[in-house]
Amino acid sequence: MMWHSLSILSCLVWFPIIVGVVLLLISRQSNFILSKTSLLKSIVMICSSCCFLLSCWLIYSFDTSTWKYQFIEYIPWLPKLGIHYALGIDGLALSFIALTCLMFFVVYLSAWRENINNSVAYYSAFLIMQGLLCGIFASLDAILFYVFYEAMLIPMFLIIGLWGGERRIYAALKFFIFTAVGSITLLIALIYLLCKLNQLELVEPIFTISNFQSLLLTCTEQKWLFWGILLAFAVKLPMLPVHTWLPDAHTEAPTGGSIILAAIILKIGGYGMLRFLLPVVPAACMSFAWIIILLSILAVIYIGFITIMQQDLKRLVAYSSIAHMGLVTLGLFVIFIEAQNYTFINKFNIQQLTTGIEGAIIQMLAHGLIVGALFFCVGILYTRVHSRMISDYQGIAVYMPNFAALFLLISLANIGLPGTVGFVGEFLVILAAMQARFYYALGAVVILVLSVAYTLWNYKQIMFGQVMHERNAVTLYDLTWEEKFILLCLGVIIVILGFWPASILHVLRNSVEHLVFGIYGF
Amino acid sequence: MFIIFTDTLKNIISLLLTMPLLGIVLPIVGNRLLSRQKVNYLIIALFSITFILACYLLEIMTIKERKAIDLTLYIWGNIANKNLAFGFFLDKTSAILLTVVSGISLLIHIYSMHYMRDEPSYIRFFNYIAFFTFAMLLLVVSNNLLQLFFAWEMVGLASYLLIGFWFTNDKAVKAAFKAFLINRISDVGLLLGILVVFYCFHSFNYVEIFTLIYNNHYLPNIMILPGIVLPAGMVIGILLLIGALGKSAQLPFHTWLPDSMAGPLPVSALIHAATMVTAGIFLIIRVMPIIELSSIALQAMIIIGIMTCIAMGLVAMVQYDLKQILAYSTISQLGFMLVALGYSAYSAALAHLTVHAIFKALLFLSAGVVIVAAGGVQDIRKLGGLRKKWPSIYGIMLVASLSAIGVPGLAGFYSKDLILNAVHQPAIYYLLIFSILITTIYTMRMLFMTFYSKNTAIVSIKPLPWYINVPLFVLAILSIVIGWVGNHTFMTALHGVISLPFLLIIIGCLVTWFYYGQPLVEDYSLSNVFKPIYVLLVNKYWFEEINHWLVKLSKLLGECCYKFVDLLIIEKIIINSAVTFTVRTANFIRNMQTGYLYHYLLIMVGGVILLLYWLLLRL
Repeated sequence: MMWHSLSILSCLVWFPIIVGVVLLLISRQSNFILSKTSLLKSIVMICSSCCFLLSCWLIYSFDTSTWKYQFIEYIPWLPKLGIHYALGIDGLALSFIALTCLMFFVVYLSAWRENINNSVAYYSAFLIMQGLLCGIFASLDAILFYVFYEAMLIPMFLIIGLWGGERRIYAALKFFIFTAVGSITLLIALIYLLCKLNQLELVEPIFTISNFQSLLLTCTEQKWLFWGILLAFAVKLPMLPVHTWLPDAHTEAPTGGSIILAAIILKIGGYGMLRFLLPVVPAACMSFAWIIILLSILAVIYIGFITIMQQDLKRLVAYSSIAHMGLVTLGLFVIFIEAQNYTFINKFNIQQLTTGIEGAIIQMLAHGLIVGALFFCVGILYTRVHSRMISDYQGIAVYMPNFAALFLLISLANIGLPGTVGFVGEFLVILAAMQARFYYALGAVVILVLSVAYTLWNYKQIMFGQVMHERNAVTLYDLTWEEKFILLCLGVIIVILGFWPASILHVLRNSVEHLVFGIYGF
Repeated sequence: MFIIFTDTLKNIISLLLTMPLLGIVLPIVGNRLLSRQKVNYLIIALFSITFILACYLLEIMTIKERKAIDLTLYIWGNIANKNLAFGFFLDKTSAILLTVVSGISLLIHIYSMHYMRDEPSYIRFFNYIAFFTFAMLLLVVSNNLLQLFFAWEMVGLASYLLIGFWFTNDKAVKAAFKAFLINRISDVGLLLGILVVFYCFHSFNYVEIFTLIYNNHYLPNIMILPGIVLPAGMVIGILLLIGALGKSAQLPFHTWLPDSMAGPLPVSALIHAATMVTAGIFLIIRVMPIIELSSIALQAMIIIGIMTCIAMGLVAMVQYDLKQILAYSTISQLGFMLVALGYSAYSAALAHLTVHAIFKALLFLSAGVVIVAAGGVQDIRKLGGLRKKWPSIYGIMLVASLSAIGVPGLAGFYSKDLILNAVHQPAIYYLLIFSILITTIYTMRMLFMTFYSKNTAIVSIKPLPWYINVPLFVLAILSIVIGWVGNHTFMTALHGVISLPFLLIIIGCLVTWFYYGQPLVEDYSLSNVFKPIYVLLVNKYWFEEINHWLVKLSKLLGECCYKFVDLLIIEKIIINSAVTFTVRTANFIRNMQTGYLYHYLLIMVGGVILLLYWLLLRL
């Protein structure tokens, strides 16, 4: 590990946090910022644009030909315990950081016209959260990861609890308690791993995530660690039995909060599994894979049916997220079953296994873009009609033709229409499932039918038909320029990645291959 | 003799696909700058170029007899170091279909320019059909199954958009949703089939797959459910067939097609009669070597095809809506093609596909003229007596109908003859001939009721502009002469005159004339005689009811899952009880802290005694 002259990752992490904190402090001192919301918004926009450009620069200068961590930063923190401030990214982390920066940019721009109570605190919470989320994806040290992971809960808790809907306190508490319970088991698992590492007496005892792989854990240890780590990330993702916090949190959070929650925070679950579960406890993963796959397929079918009869738009999108996340866990764990089909395992065979993981990652990224855009669309409708109930809408397309077109594009992406990035993830995951067992794929494709049933049926209910409430027609105006800009940008990204996923696969390839090699000890 | 380079061919196909894409963009731009007429000419020019290029490709492939060619365009993505390339595959089949699709699309664009002229979202309509044309052409020239699936879903989307074109009409948007959903269910079959193909052959590319099949590539067995193992060939065949059944509206996926008639009429002609619905047939022709691996799939095609052909033809006999009759007739004719595919008569099926596209488009377009003239009346009981008032349109419809029936000499005869020749099982052969009788009856019934009987709806006859006349005329000529290609001439049809099918056609015509040719006296006589059959047909075998029942069932299931499992079991019982447990435990412990000194003293003394006792025991 070495110093890097340009600490670009630290900038990405700390710059928004510092801006957020400074804004908070200034607003305590004087009312200047508070009185000038446009100034505040400009500052936030500039800050987030800088972060976005930084992430673009990261993508540009990222070397895709290697699996090695890049842009490494390393400062000793608690050296006696082997805990360091270590940042660095590979293809996986890069794609999630880019998604984070993009979606936060969308959130700030979407609130351009809104008048928010206590807007300084609102923006500060989002800025701090942006830094913390980038920190989660960029940290190489497990304890640093955990610190960011826990700290991120606070701004999210405040965003739901302060700016949410009617039942916001309940939803915020539920979100916090669910996640905190998971975090405790993760902490225990991490401490156990830390002790193990310190026993090893490495020349340079560094508590980095990649060092976990060199630990030789017995099967029993792995099984205990598996459940400990799984619970934390299963709550975040969320997986089937522990998903009930999500509909409440999504429904009650403000539009920006819902976007971030769905687009980024859920992805931490999948990202955590990729970093901590698969490479660290592969033997346990192998033996419990069937449970996870069963739960995933159950999530796809069972949540799909639940989604069909949702009356509340946000709740509908939230439930559809759970179903789509089912495909992520399916893609991650199906590789263990797929490997059982091979009579012998060599490097060439193992390369075949990357499909499932790549599919899961692309599914997460795609879902981030699509559901972020969907929540944004719901937000647009809400600002005009002030209702989340589907039955309050009818024939919107007459008054909002541009919105109708872009909302249709996003809805089509949500049902995984080929030509949108939504298809790529689903396709790769189902392909991997097919290569493992045909009936896994048979279960997973149910999502293709059910998602059409709920997405397009509700699109029809909202957009088409005669305008029922004449009073609404007065408040219905078509997209403003920034709304059009956001939806167009997201739509273009969704379509480009749909027709050319090679670009994103190229970034992921080496990292995923390294991960899979790590699992099988090559 | 000059040689066409591969790159040139690739550029030609790319150009051919670019034209409809321009057809989406340019009218939007042009609408702001140019007059309506100039926009029209622009659209016609673009699609004429497409058609001319398609004709050129057809010439290269058929007359110059170039071998099939596989062209790579770009790398879509890669799966485990295997590159998935998108590109073009050109052979005779795709060249023929390119010509058919672009030709009919051109004619229907021209027709729509008059038909849709008063429509406020005129440009949007042309955007949609240009998008459809692009997607359909892409489907035809795809060189791999994945790209085919892309185009397959895109034509489905175009169909969805066009059925729901009048989006304030509730019936239309419901039909659009239904079409998309039912197609999606069968597309899932297609997707799974494609994935199994990839699993077996490690490629999506046609040429690579076919080469492996010709070299007797080993096919694994597939466990479709725990404990049920089937050979891969059979699984692939059945899954691909399911995909084809949905798009081509065969049993049991047919219910979306009659409903799709809620869209604008040119759309029904282009998408739901001539081109898109034949995509299923095209798919089977395209993946012929794969389908041939499984005899079960072939037999399934014969059985489903013949069932659809007869059952839906019978339904067409009791319909009164002009467009519905044509819709059921389309389903029936597609069943006819499917039977041909089941007997591996691919060229016969392709021939019937082409001919059907022409005469069915003509039937729809001339029906459109009649409907518009009658002020939107589609009920054939209210139409009638048009023959004398409007002989030209009667003549055109007569040509189309006779061609559809398969009167010797007209186009429909040759393709049906080819199919009948390919059928070698007597039972199926006679069933097919029976279906020709049914075709005759419903077609002539429609013709007689529209043009002969006397009760006339108010019909305003105006001279038709060339926008309407040209497509009708061209299609009418083609409906007659398209059969006379290759070795077939008018004279080769002579053997058809003395055959059984022709006898049945004449009988069918006479019977229909007897019942419907006269001024209509409510046809209760027939429906009373065959009451149970009549009820069965009028209710369309209750497929709609079964669908509704399935939808209700899944909604109920969703309700149960949500209210019972999610809200009650997980939320109330498990999670709330965990909360209650925590609260109760905390309360219990809190209550122990009573604050009274004597409580604490008592516990302390008791503890000391216990401790002493324990120590004493240890000693």
